[in-house]
Amino acid sequence: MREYSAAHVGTPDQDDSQEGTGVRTRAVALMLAAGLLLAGCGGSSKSSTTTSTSGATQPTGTPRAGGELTVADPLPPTSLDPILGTSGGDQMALYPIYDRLIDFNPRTLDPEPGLATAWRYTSPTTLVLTLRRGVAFQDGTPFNGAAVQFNLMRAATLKTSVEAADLASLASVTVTGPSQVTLHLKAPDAAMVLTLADRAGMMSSPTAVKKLGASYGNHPVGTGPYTVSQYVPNSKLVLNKNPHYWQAGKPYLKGITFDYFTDQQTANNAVKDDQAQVELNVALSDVSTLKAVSGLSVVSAPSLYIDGCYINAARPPLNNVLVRQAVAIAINRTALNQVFAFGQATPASQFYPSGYWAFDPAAANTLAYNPTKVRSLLKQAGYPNGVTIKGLGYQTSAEARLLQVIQQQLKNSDINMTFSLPQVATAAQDFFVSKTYNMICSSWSGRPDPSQTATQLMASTSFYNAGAYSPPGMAAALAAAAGDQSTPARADALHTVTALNQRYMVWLPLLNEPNVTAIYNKVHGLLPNLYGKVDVSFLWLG
Amino acid sequence: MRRLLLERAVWLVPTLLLATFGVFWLIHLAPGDPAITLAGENATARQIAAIRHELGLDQPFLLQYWHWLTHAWRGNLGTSLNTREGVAGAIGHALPVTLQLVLGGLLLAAVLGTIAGIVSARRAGTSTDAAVSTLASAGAAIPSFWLGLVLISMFALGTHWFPATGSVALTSNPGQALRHLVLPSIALGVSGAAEIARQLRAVLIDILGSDHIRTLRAKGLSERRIVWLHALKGAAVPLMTIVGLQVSRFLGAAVVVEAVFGISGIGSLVVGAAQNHDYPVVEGVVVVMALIVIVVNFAVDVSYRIFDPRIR
Repeated sequence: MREYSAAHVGTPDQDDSQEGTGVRTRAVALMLAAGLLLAGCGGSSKSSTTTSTSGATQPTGTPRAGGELTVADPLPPTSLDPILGTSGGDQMALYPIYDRLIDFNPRTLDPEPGLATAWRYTSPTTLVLTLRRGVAFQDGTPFNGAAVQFNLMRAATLKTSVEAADLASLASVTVTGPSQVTLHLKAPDAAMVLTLADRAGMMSSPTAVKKLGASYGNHPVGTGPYTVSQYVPNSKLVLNKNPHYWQAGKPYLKGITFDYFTDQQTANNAVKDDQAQVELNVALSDVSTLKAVSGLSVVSAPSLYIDGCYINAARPPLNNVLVRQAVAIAINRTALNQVFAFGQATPASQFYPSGYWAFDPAAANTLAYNPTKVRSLLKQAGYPNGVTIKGLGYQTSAEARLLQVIQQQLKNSDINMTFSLPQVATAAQDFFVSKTYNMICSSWSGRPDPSQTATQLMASTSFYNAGAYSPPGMAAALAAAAGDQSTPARADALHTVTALNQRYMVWLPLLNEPNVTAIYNKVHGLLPNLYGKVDVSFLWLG
Repeated sequence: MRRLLLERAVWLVPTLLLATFGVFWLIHLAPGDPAITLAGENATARQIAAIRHELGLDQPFLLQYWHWLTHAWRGNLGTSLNTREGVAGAIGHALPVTLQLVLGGLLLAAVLGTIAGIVSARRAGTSTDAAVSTLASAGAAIPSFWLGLVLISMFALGTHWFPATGSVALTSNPGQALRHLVLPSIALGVSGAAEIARQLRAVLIDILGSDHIRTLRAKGLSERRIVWLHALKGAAVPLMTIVGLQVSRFLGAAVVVEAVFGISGIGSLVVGAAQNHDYPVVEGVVVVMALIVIVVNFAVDVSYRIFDPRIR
């Protein structure tokens, strides 16, 4: 059963009169409900997700305006231009600067109003958005249909846009009313709504983009609650309150400073010394240390983040499905959780965490450790004396540990894995481009829509499917998951994707990791989301 | 002096050419492709090729170097491949931070090392000498990152006397800047102090045993005057050589100390750039570092002439 601490999180919302109920407009009641619901929907998998330590006793109450906050983060943004950044941690710096067209419910990731107050598919390939009125970018440029059209087409067509893949189904955008735009799709794409809840839906000022060109990423202008005062890449991001923010009374803080630390220990030291009042993306190995700090709460929340291995299913010996199946069940995820994640993760057999609507409870423990079956599968595959594979990981201490544990576990089942740990760029090139390894063990940070995850990990044309392998029926299941508007039908299609992956093992799930934030008790309003990317925009000091 | 300056200027050009070409070559030799990093998740081969073309990474290696060199010659160090920030601007942010740290470490090393060296030389062969020598050996052996972590644990997280991370510019808030500078300067400077102490001890023992010092003693000068006014002047040339060497050593060691203390200086800038194959940034840093080392060597040469007029 999953536990979720609602303690020390949440703020009563003062702005219920506002149109829509975005991620930034939650009430304490909703939070408590979220906590209770998540606590009760854990399924059968065992979890030891860390919960808040002392935050349960912290007062909430009415948010207070004023004060400044320093946030320590080991993940510096790769760009503040939302369509150029490449790190899964970028969003945490982008949220305070940019509003998104669609928001999401932090607990369920269901779409909610953002800069678009309503949306509807008038046909499977036509999506109409109604835009919020009276919003302006931080440089005074009005937010309107033309701005949406400019942003979406830029994200879809700019050669260097990393969002082009997510917007591959977008054919054109037309302004169809004073506060309405229509998205014309090349093919049915139910994931488009939540695609607009991520980077692609973050609206940049067209004036600033045109004026600044390539340097826009260092001088971003959105409609969000904070403006950028100073940005030193990889070092510091200083934000000031946007006095003209469209949500009256928000944000509460006068300013937020992000301090970026390449070394996790240094980030821990900053928060221990109260130089930073919040630390994002706390390593699971540091949870117990930070829990001991007086006045500091460690909030651990379920997230889409999953450790796993990308497999090249075209390269021998993993081009043999029996060997891939053997590798999948030669890993003892329960032991891996204890050794690698300090018992704080959840063993995973599918991409999605339990409790999420795309999760298939019937396939929860399909990839359970079974050494006897491993030997039988290897024998059937023609490797009675064992098999050797080439593994790869990124050069970080955590991934080195992950690879070491996996190597030892595989060895116990006569699967000898050699592995290298080059820099990220080198590893990506070796595995995804040169295709010289059998598998790379790393992680997947998730996407707001489960179809995005399924497509990016499973589609034969995806960058991540190094072997360009598509099991029979996979393409149809992926199309069904994206093509239908009904959630139950989409869930069924995604369950089929899960079943096909478990059978043909294109991507090897290992552990669902929680997202951990350390926060002093004097800071209130923390609202973790299932996406695992914390938004600090509406924190306040008590 | 003018001739010395001219000589240094003449050597500057081939030194910079060799250093920048060597580094450029090494970056290109290392596996990995910055275009893949920039293209990000789910990139298509077309996108990666477009980025490679946009950044000129699809050109032959020598042509890429030539383009960089001709731009650098005109004072344009280019733009970071990763952050799209001007290289000169990035170095402009980071260099003062590192120089502040290196100067702090150097000051500590020079003062501590000189005092320890004098104490040890004056009491050569005594238990004080043995204690100082042992401490100096330990100081030289202690890794700066370990010392940094211990200092943070004791004096930042333990007593809260000093901040655990970050830096403040001396120009913006001198008091806070010094508070932030104390622990990293100690972590950086201790090994330098040990080196200076050991070298100075050896030189001073020789000088204190020389004929002209014996004559000064015979004339009745106090030991303090002999050491501080005469012996130390004789040791100035080797002392300046060691201090000069510490500058380039500290610039290198700052990479580690900056990481431990979360200081965004040249070290963290160049490490990140090297990992991402961001050659304009690496090249820019190499040029600046080479210039600093050359200027420091020049200053050391000039100091030789001041301390020892026989040197021409």
